[in-house]
Amino acid sequence: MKALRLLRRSGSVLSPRTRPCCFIHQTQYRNPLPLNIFRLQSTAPAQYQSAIEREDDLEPGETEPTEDFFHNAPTQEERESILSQLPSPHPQHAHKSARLSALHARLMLPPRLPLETLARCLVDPSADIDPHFNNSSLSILGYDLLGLYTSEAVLCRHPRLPTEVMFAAMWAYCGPKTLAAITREWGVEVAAAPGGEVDPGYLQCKHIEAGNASVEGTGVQVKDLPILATDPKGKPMLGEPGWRRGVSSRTVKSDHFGDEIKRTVLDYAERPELRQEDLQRKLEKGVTLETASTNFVRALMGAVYLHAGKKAAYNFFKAHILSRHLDFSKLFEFRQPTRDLSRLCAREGFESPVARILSETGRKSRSPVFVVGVFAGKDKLGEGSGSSLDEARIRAAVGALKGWYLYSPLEVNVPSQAERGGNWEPVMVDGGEVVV
Amino acid sequence: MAPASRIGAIASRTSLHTTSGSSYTCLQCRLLSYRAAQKSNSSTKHLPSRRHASGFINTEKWRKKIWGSENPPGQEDPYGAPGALDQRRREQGVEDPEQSAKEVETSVEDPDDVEEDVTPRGPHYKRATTWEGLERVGYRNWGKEQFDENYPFEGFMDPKLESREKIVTAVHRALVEVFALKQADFPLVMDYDAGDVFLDNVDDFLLRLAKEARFEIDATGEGHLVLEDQELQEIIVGSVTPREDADEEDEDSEDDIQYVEEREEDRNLKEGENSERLAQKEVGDASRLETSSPAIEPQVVEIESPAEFETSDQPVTDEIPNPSSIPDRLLPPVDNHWRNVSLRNPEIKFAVLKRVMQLTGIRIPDPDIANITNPKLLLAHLVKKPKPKKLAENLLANEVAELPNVQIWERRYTPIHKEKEIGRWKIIEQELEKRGLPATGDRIGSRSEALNV
Repeated sequence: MKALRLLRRSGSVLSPRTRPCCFIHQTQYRNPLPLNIFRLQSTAPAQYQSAIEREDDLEPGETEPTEDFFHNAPTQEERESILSQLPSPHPQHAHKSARLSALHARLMLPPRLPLETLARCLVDPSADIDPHFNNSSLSILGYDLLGLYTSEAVLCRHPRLPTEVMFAAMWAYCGPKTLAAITREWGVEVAAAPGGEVDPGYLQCKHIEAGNASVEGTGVQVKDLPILATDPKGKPMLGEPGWRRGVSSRTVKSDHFGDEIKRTVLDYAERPELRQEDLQRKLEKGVTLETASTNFVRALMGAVYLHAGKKAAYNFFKAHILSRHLDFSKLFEFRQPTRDLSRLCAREGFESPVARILSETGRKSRSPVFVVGVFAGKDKLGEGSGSSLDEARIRAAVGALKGWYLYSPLEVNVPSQAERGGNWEPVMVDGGEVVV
Repeated sequence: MAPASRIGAIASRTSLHTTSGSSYTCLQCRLLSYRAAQKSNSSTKHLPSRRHASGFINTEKWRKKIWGSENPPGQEDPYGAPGALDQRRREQGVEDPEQSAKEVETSVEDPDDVEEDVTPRGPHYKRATTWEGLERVGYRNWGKEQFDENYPFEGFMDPKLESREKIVTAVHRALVEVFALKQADFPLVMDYDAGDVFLDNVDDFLLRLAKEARFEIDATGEGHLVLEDQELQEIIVGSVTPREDADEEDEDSEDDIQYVEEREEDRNLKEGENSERLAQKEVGDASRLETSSPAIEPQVVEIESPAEFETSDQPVTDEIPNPSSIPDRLLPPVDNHWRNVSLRNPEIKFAVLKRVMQLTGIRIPDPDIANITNPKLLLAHLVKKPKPKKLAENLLANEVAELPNVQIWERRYTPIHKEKEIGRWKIIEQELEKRGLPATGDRIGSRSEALNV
């Protein structure tokens, strides 16, 4: 399979980074800026350069002309004042930040990933609304990549997992909480407030006000304010009354974790102004630290993919996401395991399961122990122990179900491996859980 | 009653309305009369020598009548000649003192007329409204400053050398010259006017001194100058012994001004002229040496041909020597033997010290001279130890500074830096300003200035 030329196709994500945004309107009357502030250093070649294919061995910084607008700004104070007006650190500052290089080295990122991009990954849309300077595009890409790699890793290794457990596993591997924990483990610190003077090595976002913070001058907590509880249209935002959604609808309409997608691509296509509205609201309200951290890890994933290719991206995923230990057997929750087991046996054409006592001790004592096995014909499906016969039987049924659902083939070739140059072998994906 | 009657008299003179029969005068009238009296008094006071005013008693007429003749004897005014002021006015052509007084009055009233009258001013003249930018005159030490501007102080020594390398080179040179003279058995007297050590075409000379002159210290601790060839010694000796023509000049003109002019001229000489002069000097010196010391061979004259000097001086014409730094090749030898050469011999020590003072312009205090026994101690007086480098400078020079994950700060990393790095400083500043508090200590002044403006 021929590898895709990523750099050629990534023009929309790595577009030349100029800043024609509100920042210019803010500042053009205050003090005239040097002209080439509008053409800031980019992590992608400019338009006229995008036709030239970059040499693969070259590092991006080597070929790019670095314009130094700082040399035009005469004094230190002027430079600082210009910088402090920027919503996020200037890309050129990426090379001066020890924090950023240390992070680059600590994560063992590929050398083809420039520091500027790493710095861009650390800028949340709530800090800098300009999509050329924040990590929104990269994080969308990273979100999809993480979903792809995680889902294939989970599904191919455990082909019979129920959908709910699958969603839970996805959440556990690359959900917001995990990614926020990963950010903390990587040693990424958060800036108190975003701005141009901030060290690029800090994660920058506008913090949402804490819910239990008291509103100034009153004893009211922020979360109790009526304004925040509803969106501009008057609909309640928090604690939205949902309705029960079936598993099958989740697989089709939800995100990777089975959650409802508030704004779908179709929504944005129908009403393009929605995107700007959402961004604006985010900019005003700020985001939680968890959201910002999630966006950062996703964006970094996307950046590694774009700059260093699929192999490096998968290695990065393996090193930081897949390496985390997840006990799948703890993710299950059965309401009526014995019934599920009998349905499963019926579906799979086994004999109906029968529970038999294997051994017991202290039946008359204060703490008896029964060991019960579940048999389908002559095959023992599972075994469980408990202080009562029912408990032991249910445990045996749970064991039998887990044994079925947690089947894992010995050798697995995930589909994306073929893209990275491996051989394509179709993987077994089972029918999933029984529907009771 | 007496004061009232006096006032009444004044009032009658100034035609006041007083009630007949009673001596009472109302307050208003008293005030008026008082003012009138004041006014009349002041007018009489200001007018000079009323006696000469027209309309006063004409004494001349009475004199004529008394004597019965047109030309009565005696002075025109027996009670004194007209006052000195009147006399001067008459000389200046002002006929009437009253008229002049009037003129003064009008001039006071109308200053514009004065402006036109007094002195012609340039087209750019603008009347000053404040004292800003005007020349200050007559303050304390003003006179001295005026004098110093026109007669600046000129010390007896040359301006001091600043660069450490230059001073070390100068000491080495002095040492070599003195020892060369000593070895040639010449009196240790050197030509003071050696030109600017580093600007004139002594490059080659210095280079050879630095490279080829070495000192060896024998068992007794005495130093000896070792030169590569005899020729060099001759050049050295020739360059420092007093010139005959210079002596003649000195004898001819002992006037200081002429001497100063001479020196300035020397300094302003062009490169080519310089080389010629030097060559001539060398020739002269050589011939002088020939006469003074029979040991030196006459070939020297031919060796020191002007052509050779021109070629050797060629690079100097191309590059303008930088006075602040001298090239490495002109530095004294790295080997530090010469620093330990003994200066215990007072004759040598005196010669060296004198020569060093001539070359460097730095005076060594007399009490310290006794303690100087070698060039090392001498240098300790002349040059300061280079300032030790700061830790940050050392670190920045180190390869550690090139590591991307290392940041070296030259200044203290203050809490403000920390807050700026995480972006909190602007918020802190905002909040402090909202409360009218200064963000940092040094901004208090600037804040108050801003408020005043």
